[in-house]
Amino acid sequence: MKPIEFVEFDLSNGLHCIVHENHDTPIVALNLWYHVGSKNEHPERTGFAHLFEHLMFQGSRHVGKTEHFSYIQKAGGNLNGTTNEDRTNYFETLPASELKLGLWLESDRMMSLDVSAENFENQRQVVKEERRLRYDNAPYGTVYEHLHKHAYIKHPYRWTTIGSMEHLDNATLDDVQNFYKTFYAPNNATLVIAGDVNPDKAREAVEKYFGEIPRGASFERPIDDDLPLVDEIRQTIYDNVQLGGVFMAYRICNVKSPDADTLGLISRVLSDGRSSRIYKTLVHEKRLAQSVNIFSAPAEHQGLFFVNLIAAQGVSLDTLEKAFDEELHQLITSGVSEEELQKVKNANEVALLRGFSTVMSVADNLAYFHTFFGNAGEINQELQKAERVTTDEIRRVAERYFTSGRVVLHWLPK
Amino acid sequence: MLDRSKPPIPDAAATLPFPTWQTAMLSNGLKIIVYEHHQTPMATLRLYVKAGSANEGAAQKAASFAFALLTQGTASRTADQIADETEFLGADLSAGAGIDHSTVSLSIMTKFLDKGLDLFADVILQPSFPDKEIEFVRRQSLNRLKFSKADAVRLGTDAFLKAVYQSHPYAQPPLGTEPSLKNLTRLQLETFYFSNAAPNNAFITVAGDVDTADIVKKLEQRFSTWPPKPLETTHFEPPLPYEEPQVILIQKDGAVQSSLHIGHLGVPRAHPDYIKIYVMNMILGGYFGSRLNLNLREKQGFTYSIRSAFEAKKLLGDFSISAQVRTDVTADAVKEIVREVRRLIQDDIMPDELQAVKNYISGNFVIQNEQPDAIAGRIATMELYGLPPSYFDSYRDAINAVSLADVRDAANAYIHLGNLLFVASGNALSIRKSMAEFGETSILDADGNELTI
Repeated sequence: MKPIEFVEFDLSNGLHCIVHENHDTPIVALNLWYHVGSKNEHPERTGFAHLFEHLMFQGSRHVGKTEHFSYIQKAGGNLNGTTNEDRTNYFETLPASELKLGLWLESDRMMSLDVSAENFENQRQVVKEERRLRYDNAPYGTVYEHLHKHAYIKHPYRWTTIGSMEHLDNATLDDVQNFYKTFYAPNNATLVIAGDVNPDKAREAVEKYFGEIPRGASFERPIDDDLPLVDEIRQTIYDNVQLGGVFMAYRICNVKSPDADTLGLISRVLSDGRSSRIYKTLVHEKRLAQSVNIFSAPAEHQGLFFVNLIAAQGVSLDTLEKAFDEELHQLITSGVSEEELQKVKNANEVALLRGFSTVMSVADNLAYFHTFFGNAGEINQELQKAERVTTDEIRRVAERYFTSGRVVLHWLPK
Repeated sequence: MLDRSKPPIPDAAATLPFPTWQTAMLSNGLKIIVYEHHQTPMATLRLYVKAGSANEGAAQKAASFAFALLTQGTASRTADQIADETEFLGADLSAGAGIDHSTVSLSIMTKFLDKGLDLFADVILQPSFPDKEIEFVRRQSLNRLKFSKADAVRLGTDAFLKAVYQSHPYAQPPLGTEPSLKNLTRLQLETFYFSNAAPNNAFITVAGDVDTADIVKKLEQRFSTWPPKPLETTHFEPPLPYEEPQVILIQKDGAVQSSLHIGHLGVPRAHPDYIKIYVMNMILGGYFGSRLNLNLREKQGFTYSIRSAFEAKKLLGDFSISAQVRTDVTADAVKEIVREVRRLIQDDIMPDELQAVKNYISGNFVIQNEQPDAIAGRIATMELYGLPPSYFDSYRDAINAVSLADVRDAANAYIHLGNLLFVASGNALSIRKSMAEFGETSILDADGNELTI
């Protein structure tokens, strides 16, 4: 893989900026990460970081409600924002000639967010609809909520980004101001510009639009000190679904741990493609499962490893769970062959090639590595990190993370 | 001092023409389209067969079964061997059927191209349709159908398609029905595949890090023995439009939202007014800045997102507005939707509003073209729907040429307030009263049977 090149600089107010040049297409991607997510929320205000993300589109001193969208769209661009446990990002892809438009819009809302009571109320309703759409009205929609709730003991990862309806209802405009003041400061942000740009000109423009924004006060970040998950926590849930499912979560490491690379490969061994172990045995051979989806989600703090098994019609969840456990036990005791390891490394290489195929995905990855690793250059280590994993490592890591506690949900039709 | 009160003046805009591509014909007449792009050492090949669920006749689901079976066994490889060999290369080999066409796709790192091509050719030319795997796919399909009955959006879409297209094959539910899945025979799916998949009814697109002459040579080596076949053409009568608005409610237990699907018949993809209609729809509900979204989301807070679309297929198309709204505002949301549709048809459109939409479409056209697969997809679109080969070269000019009068005319000609279908899937019992004002109402269960309550 060709290394991804970039330059970096800091403004005096602490804004970190990364520029990646690629002149293939006359477009530019801006991706602005704020290092705040749902783990920074007060336990009585779950869902607030995400609600706040919506409010960032509701107006600032020089940009009215919905104008952030309309300026970018009528310039020929597209945009969005996302929130997870650890960070919130705002991004737009624009024609290269419109770089300054993106900087003007992002700097205006970083320095002067202006949300009216009416617009706040409107977005509260929109976010509640989003919760209904993705969680309450979706089959199996609340699986991750249940898994997180049981997989953590005191860490804020015990709730999910969407939060609870009650907390969304209780949020106030004062909360908005406090959250904005605390977390939306240049020294808590990383701005990546990728595409058809000249780095010197980009730097000049960033200085111009962001330079005068004052640095924010420091704040206390949550710490990664949750008690280990040692028990097996089980729950049965009855829902409006037609097929049962077994959903599990194991507590794992954070993104910086070398074990994260190994766990990524393990998830591929178990469920990536039709040749994977769980698909082959549980879905294809024994026909116990309708589908399987297993993935590793290390986070800034200890993350989770998820196992999602949808049962075939008429198969008991106990049978399904037992069949999975046998496969997992096999992995822990016997590991994988060299050939199987090479297979998942090849799949990983393809995923990386695909993952870096647009200027926006490169921008997002650079922001990710800077924010969580403190080193954007890690973007070029991804392939090597996976290549270094050995068959012994696979066995050791499987044993380490899959022989302690876990959460097991049995999801059954009402 | 920086003046922040106005947006900055843009730099001079660079233009990027739609890229060029190469075409070649194999000795058996199979057309090969190659778009070379060397940024990433990968390539995607896609075989398009110009037949899908619309061509199944009585053998419903034969297309999706047949294509699903291609990667489940060949004369020389079992299903597991195909999966093992492909996935060892980190490659993705998949096949599936659409409505008007079906595809077999290979996405692979170019260092493994030759091995990947062997597998790609094997599943296309030598599928064995093993009985054991037919039963596996059947069971998977039945489970998937069952699974989908819990999804309000799926139920709403199925009911909408059925009501719009009636006896036309486009009315088929995408996941099939229990009887169609249970009754399909091995002979039916073999017949479907071998009578439709032929070099004179197919083409291959290649996009990525390849050399045109080299890839054409490699495809000739593997596909030249594939014989052309006589093809059958079938004719379908188009459905008749409704004379009165209809309301169809689907009872979905436990629903907290109504999944709305409002619309009627539309136009086929190659329709001469397609671009005007596309621009008109963008204003109504095609993007975030659309009237429907600004009203129902940003003003009323009724929904997380609302879209309208002219889904244009080969023979026909449909127009639909879709959104999920909380149960107690269902009728209010429908009222606002109807109001926006009426406003689009009857009132003036502002020049700024039209210009914004044109810029949005043109700019995003360039952004999407960053990816070689998107370019290949556009070239395939021209091939599949019989559009002229210059279609995307002049696409931005065509968008720019759409006038205010064109938009108004398109709204008047292609949106019909008087015979809209209103489909809502959710808590039918609690919305039936308020929805009755929009038309003659029927209530269905998750399987499409009429409920008499």
